[in-house]
Amino acid sequence: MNTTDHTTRLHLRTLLCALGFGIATLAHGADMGHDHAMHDHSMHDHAMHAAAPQAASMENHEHHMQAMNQTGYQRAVVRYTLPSLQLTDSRGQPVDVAQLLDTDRPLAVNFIFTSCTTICPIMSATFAQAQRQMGVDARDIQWISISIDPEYDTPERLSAYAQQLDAGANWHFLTGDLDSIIAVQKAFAVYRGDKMNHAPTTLLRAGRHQPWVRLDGLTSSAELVQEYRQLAAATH
Amino acid sequence: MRRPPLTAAGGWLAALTAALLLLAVLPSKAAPLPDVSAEQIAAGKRLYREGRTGDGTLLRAAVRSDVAMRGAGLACTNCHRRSGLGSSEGGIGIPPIAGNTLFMAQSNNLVRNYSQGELSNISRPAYTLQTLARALREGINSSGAPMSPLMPRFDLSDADIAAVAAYLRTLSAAPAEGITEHEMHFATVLTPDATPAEREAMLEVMKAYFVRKNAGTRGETRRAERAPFHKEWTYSAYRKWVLHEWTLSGPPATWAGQLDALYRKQPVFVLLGGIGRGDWQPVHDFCERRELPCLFPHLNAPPPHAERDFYSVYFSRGLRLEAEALAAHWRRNGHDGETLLQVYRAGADREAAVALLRAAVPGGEDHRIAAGDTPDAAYWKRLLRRVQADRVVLWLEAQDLDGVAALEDGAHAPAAIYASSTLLPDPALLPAMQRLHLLHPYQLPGQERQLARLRVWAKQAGIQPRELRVQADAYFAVTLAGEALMHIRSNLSRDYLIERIEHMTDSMLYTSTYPRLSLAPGQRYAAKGAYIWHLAADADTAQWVVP
Ligand code: HEC
Repeated sequence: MNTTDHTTRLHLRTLLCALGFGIATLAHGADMGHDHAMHDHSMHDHAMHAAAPQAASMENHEHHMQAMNQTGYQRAVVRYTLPSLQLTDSRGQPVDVAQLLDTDRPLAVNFIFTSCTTICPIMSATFAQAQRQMGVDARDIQWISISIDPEYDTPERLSAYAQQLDAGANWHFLTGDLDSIIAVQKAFAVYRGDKMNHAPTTLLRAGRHQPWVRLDGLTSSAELVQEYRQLAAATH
Repeated sequence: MRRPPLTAAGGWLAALTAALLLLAVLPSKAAPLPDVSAEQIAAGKRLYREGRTGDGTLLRAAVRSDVAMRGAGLACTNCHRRSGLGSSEGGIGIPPIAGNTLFMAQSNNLVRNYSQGELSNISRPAYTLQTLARALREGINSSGAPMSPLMPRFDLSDADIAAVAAYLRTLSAAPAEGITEHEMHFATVLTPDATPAEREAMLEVMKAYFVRKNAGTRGETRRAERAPFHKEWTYSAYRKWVLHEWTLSGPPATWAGQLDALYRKQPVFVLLGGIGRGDWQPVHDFCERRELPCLFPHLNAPPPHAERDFYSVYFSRGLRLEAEALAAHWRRNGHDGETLLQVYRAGADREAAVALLRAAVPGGEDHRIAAGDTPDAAYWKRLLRRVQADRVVLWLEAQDLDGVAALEDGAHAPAAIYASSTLLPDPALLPAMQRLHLLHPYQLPGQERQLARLRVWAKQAGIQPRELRVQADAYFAVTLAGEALMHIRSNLSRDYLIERIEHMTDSMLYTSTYPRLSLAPGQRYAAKGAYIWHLAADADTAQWVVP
């Protein structure tokens, strides 16, 4: 499955920065099955320097950010190798990531933090609405939101966050120690060094041994449901 | 959605006028307002800050085309921030909408001064009430272009829109106090419970930084004087920094009055650094009341509920953080059913920590050393015979630990003994003990490479190392303020300064005795955890605990 589908649903206005940005993000990802020629567009190496633990000047980040007011999202099919890592769920219980992902149930994963007031509430609301929209189908899926601000997002804070969203039992909120959270972000190629710089990424997978569908950018709820249906149809 | 037409002045003409104005003077005032009432502004503020509409219901909107949202999470402040000067998060820029930007035409030149930076190619006519309504309801900006779907499409009445417009005009509009044409005033607060040595160590660093900063600024000011007129706005941010020492005296209950008097005599833009060991609540409350940023004082007992407020930002929760880390460590290791003896001396910082840990571990006793007593080996033995406990926590300073090794002798010896690193800044002075653990929110020995920058700077400034944590905290506070003020340039809004600090702390190359400092919107304690460090073992076996 080495398909990429970069051109769908990209509005013209954001094409330039989406190319510069989204692909740069992928460029330092793990084991990816997609067209490397696309990397030539990653001249604006925002993701590159942002990935350094101490990111370069903020000014530069903001320049890039403004340029990518996204009105669409980008899709790529990617394989990731997840290291064995221990995280903690919102009840304070340990969760082995490899074990959690070792399932035939479909998965939907995103990355949030509770004190992010702009894109995170929207990403979470999108998960919630997609679940309502899917009805019973949503119950087959494991929804996983991983905090990228683990030292602030204690299990208690995540639990309160989940409650506000009225999240059901199949929506897991994970935190952990800082190193593990960085490792899991790196494994999914979403690590950008500084949490204030994090980008909206959603990952879908139909089942064990299937590749991930990676959606970079904010999706609408309908788009997310559609992506999932497409994925489910292709693998069943 | 309700969408009746709005009565508004001719938008096109207003835009043209604003554009012409813009050419004439930079920056200029927004076009004059239609009359607005104080109630309208208050209603606009509720909408902006809390997401409450005029009829008391919560805001409703669609985001990203079909995600219906409702409630305080939609309040404008979440994205455009309290200052109205915008932000960027998650790779998405959020524009300034404070009145003096929104109701003025924007050219690239002008936008440069805001947080989005050079690449933002925003040119648009000034907003009118009518185009604002269209933006809020339909997501079409004043140029007629569709906006990012991240900007919610709101369901708002005309009255709500007029109210929010009235509020936006007031937002970050008044010049902040403490700033004159050529000077920016800072104060640093010293409470009577800090020792003279600590105060001097802090002031020495701050004063040296100010001197060097101002020497650099002179060059910038000369450049600004020769700058072409359109650059003036950028350069006008450079002002001489003036530091005022606000030394408080007497009991904390009298500090509010003292602070008010000092402020009246000399208004300041920011309270920077500062030092105190006990109660700090009166200073915190003063800052909140005056809407005055109070940045990174060196304290043992910062107020516990700073995250309900806005203007004070702290390094950590102080001794409370140590107590919370220990409580969490015990809970996770199943020790919370054991008995605990806490030994302490009077003081707001220590009493807060004792109470916190006691709430987590009910069994045992809290023992306060009487003012005249000097504990020796016999004292500790007597105490242990009377109170037998599985664990002992010492909220004490070095001078009280002379005979403390006696705790490890005999049948009643506790399984583990803990002490506060904040109260014992020099581990070398500790007695050699097998069971002693330090509650240590700081870097471990060997991790302190970060401090190299401070050492180099201090050497150049002729400052000897002493009270290293005090010096490092002071240095962090001044360098962070310097960097944040550079970012906000001429947007000299106190709210915006706090927002920048929330935003930039994680990415800054800072110098600190803490392993990691991190903030985000609403976070007010930058250091989040502590090591539990068994001193007899290697430092790298210390466990990092985040409560
Ligand atoms: C979830 C985040 C979010 C919230 C909440 C939000 N906005 Fe926005 N707003 C944005 C973004 C992003 C833009 C930039 C859109 C673009 O230009 O494509 C924007 C743009 C605007 C603009 C246009 C500015 C310009 O220069 O053209 C106005 C006016 C505005 N917002 C007002 C408001 C008001 C008033 C509220 C509260 C009732 C609000 N916004 C709430 C994210 C938000």
